[in-house]
Amino acid sequence: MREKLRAIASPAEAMPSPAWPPVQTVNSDIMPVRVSVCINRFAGYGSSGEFLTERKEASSPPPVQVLLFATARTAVGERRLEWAVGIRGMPLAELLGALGARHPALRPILRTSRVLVNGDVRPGAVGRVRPGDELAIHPPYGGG
Amino acid sequence: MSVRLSPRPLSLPAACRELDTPGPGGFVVFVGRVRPDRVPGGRVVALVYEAHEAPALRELAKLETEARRQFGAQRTVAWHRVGRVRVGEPAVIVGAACAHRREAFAAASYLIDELKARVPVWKEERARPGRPPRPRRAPTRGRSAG
Repeated sequence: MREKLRAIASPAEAMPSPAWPPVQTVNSDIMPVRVSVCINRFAGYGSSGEFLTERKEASSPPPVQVLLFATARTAVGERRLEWAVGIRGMPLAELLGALGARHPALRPILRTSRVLVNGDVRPGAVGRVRPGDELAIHPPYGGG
Repeated sequence: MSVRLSPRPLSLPAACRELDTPGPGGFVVFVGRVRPDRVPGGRVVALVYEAHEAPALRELAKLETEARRQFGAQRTVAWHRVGRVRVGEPAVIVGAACAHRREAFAAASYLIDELKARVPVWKEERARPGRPPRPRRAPTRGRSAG
């Protein structure tokens, strides 16, 4: 990204080729005076002095998929929930607390449930959940 | 070694065939069936089983490995139904083929006990409303039927 930015930061430098598909001419009549850079966008001048930006849709990280079984499903009324988290995720215990706060009927069930993240049991709800993780709530088992 | 979560009926003859090889001295099979228990809503007519499939299969496979190590089981089955299972139908079949009977009984017992404790499977009762059970009366002497 830095190299691309360097390439467009100076109007004297020509753009290598039109093969830079996301580049978009915004308005060639208005000449902005600074180059702005942020996570999802960078901008500068093209070879003929036009203002170029590369825009990417601001994409939010994928949510945590929460799978609910047996009494947990009954308490919430859904088999699956999506829980939005930031790019760095969040502590598992915090997420469970938030789930319990949103669904009070789930609280007593969480106390006796096993919690799995991506299929692995997490005793004590330690660690973090990351964007896109699968979190499963397992109430006490009743097979056989 | 055979593990299974099946939406279709479990077959006892198929489980026996799985265990029946000339090597081991014998095999033990346990079949768990749905009981027609009385419940507040009437009488149980079926149980609906659900499983978290991937962890359940992984745990069943672990149980089989443990049965092999601890009891010398040469063949095992650990099958569980999912979905609706009517009264009288098998919901679970476990079995172990070992050199001697004591190990075979111990392995089968270990498999069913651990399965119930560790495998993520749940059941929900389906009951048919019925009349509440009649209060029992002491038998009357000297009166014939009819």
